[in-house]
Amino acid sequence: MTRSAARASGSSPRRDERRRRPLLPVLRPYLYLLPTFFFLFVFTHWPILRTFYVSFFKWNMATPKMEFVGLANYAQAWNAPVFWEVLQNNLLFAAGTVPLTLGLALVLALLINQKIRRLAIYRVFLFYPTMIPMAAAAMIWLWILTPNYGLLNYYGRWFGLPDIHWLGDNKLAIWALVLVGVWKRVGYYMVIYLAGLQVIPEHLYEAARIEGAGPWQRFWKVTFPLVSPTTFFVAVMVVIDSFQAIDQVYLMTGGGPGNSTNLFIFYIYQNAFRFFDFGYASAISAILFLILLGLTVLAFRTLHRKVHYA
Amino acid sequence: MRSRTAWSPAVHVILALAALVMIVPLVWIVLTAFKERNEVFSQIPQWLPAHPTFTNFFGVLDAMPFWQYYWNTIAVSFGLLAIQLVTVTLAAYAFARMEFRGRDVLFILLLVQLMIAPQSTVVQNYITVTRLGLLDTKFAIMAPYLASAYGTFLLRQTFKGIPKELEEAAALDGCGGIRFLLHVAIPLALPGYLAFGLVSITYHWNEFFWPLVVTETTKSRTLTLGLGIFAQTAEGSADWTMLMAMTLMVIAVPLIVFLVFQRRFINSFMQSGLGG
Amino acid sequence: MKRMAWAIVAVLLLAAPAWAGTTIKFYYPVHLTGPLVKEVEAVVAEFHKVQPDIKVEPVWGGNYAENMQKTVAALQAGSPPDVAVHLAVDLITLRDMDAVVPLDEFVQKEGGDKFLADFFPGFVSDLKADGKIWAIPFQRSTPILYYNKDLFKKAGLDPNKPPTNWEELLATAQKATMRNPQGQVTTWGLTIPDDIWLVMSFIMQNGGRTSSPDFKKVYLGEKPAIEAVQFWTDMANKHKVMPRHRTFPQSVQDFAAGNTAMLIHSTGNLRFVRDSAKFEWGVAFLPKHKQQAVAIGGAGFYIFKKASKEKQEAAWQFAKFACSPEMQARWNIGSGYIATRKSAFDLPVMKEYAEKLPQVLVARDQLPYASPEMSTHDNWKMRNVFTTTFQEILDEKYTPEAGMQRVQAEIEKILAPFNK
Repeated sequence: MTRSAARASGSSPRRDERRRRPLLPVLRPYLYLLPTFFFLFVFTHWPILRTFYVSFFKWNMATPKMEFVGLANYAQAWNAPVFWEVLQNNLLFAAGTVPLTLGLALVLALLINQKIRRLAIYRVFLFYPTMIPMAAAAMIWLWILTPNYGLLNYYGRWFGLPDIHWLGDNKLAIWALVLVGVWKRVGYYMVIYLAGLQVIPEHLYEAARIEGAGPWQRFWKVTFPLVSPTTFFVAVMVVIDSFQAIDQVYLMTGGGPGNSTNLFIFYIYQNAFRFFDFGYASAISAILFLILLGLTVLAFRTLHRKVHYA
Repeated sequence: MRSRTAWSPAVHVILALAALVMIVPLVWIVLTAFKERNEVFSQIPQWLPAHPTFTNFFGVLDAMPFWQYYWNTIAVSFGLLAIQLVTVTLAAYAFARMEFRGRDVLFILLLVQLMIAPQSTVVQNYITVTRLGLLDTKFAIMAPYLASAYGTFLLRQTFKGIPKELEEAAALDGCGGIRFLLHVAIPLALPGYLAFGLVSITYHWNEFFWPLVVTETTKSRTLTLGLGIFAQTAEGSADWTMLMAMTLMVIAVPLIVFLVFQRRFINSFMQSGLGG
Repeated sequence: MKRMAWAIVAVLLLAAPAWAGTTIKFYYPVHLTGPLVKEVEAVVAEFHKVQPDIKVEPVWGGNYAENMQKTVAALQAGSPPDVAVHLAVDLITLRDMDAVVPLDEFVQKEGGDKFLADFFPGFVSDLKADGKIWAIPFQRSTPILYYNKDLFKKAGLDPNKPPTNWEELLATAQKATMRNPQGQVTTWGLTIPDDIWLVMSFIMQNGGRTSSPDFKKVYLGEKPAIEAVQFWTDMANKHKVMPRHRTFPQSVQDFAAGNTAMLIHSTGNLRFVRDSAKFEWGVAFLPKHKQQAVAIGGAGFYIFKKASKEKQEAAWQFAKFACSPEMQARWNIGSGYIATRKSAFDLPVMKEYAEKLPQVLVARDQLPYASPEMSTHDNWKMRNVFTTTFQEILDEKYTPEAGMQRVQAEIEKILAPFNK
């Protein structure tokens, strides 16, 4: 490293600069990484470690000073019907969101990708919900789903359907949340699929066409396989996303009726900030980490598959 | 897939239907925002307001420090981006173009942030923020995001794309090290920065949950949070027209900006999928 | 001579204190309909006029649960408010956290028992514990029955005879429920939000108890509680005169919009109903059963331990002002919360208002039948269990008996550490 570069880097090694310490070039990368890793440690790594630590303590209204209790919080979760209900709700939520989002996103991407004129304009309409906050989407749908004078029920009555109290029905409320989530995110995933579709080489379609394959066959033989890494990647993203859903739960149902729309993050929030039970909330957070970790490992395995195809 | 003119109307119809599903809710709330409060309680659908009025918008300005929320949101999103640009640039450059011991391990540690969403660490981060005396500050809202694994990832890809020969040639000209970074690498990476910037600003402008946890008063409350809180009040939940007016006021500017720069926004988000 | 004068002026200016006053932070909730933030800010403004050396910084904290969460967060951060309005049932939580100071000294200076005697006894009794008084009542309410006289007439009911007991309530609701040719409900006969504060009143009217005065036990698995819940769920599921779920604010909206003939809800919504209803309406006591009984709701002023003696004194001045007969009369008119001072009702402004809107007196007249609402340690967790299970009973996931016994068992688990 030249001396001018050493000076230009602006850092002053502790020892005499003129002796051209080999220390600086060794330190440099670490100095560059320092800001990022400092904040990363304080706000990502430390919280994860500390959450696991606190999860082994009782720390709530009855025990204002932390008290070591081993796995008691985890046992409490195991024995709490609400915890299993939350887990079930989250799985149901994911099970509803994933196929709907994927299916719609793929279909829309395929359609927009057609070489027909003036299709680009639809992109704006389909993508704009990505730009608004989920909180705003929640407000919009809260209004549309209201019984009596909400838009959906107006037209439901036209078609002879009864007044449905979407958010007040313990079987339907979770589907209302799925609906809002899909409505908000499908445009974004459509765009991801578009990117994936656009890298498929044209000559593959040519070859297929020459062999007499119709559009349906071209889709199954060329498009779908080549886009499958994207599909898998998006699927895992959507699943991970659905374990983190909170805005619409907080704003539309508050976990209810009963606990039918109580999802993980809301459950953690309730326990930490409404019941002031930090020990238990930490245990639930820890369980969520483990679930997310498992899902992410899965996602990163597929990234490798993506690289192969590219 | 090649086009077949026979399909063309069908494609348009389906896409138009989908577009309608997306746009009708927006239109509905725009119309609602201009209605009088009790007009919306009729059992028969009324699309157009009978007596269009701006009262709801004034009501919103009256009911809360709306402009304070606006300022807070701008300060948080742009302030955060400014800091992120520094941390991300340095880290991405190091990972992309420097050799050092432990690089792979550190990279994996970085990826942890992508795996673990901020929502899962709220409780602990809340405690940290409180202990640091930062509760109810704009800085607290920014804190967990000052390091951005996503941004580092994205920029690392971009920096990696710069040919080694260019760097070597520049070094011969006396432009090595940080000079290279500042005068060559960053300008070449502008598209990456733009993509990251748009995604980051959008995300933080729209964020609700973390600000909910660390904000106590209007001092640091952001627009999205203000909207959610207003909806939870009896006043907000009883007054649909005012709530819709506020929703409109919150999303208006981002939507307009999006409409003007839609290509850029869509491309930025496209990259976020490939970048991972 | 002139120089001397300037010197004296200079000395005086330098010696004068910059701002001799005290600033206090005040957290308050808004849980009901109506422009209540404005009303609270008006009280603060009036106080500033009367006591210019004390500055109150009001911070609206959301609804009761959110406001409590803010206070707890502030306590954990080491910077709690100096004075705050919290529910009477939050007393036990705030004491468990050792966050507030007893107000006996302040009360003594105002005349002790004589001072307290002007407050309605029901509003003070649940703010006392361990022989001390911990808060003074600011916004207190009871549930009342709102009814739509126009809809009564339409249904062939006498608009001046609201139901007075459970049987009449059911019969009236049945007559008032309107359905369209397809059999779907177009107007509900009755709406009650699925909030446990209202369930408590039903339990009490059935001769039951909810929780023990020592905050350690609940009685929700007993017969009176089960029967009360059975009656409620039958109205929703068997007789179908009432929707299963309505949130606290939504149900008031429904009434104001004319979608329900009757509403059981807090008197604190009175002002909103007055401003929004485009029909003739009345209020009445809650229809009784084995006895006439209602749960008192609402909140009072608490002063925090961490505040300096000076700030505590300033906080007391503010609390005292807000709970004065004049301010309470104003607050009652502006909201519907019952003025907590008996003498408030003798003020001309109140008398005038009562002539225009006699409904405002009904809640006060119901007070002799009012008792404290349910409260235990770990109150919010307990309430959440009760609420969610109650909602599940309404959804027919459990029978009232099975559900209430489940609630009892769960709450006993929550209260176990406090019963050691």
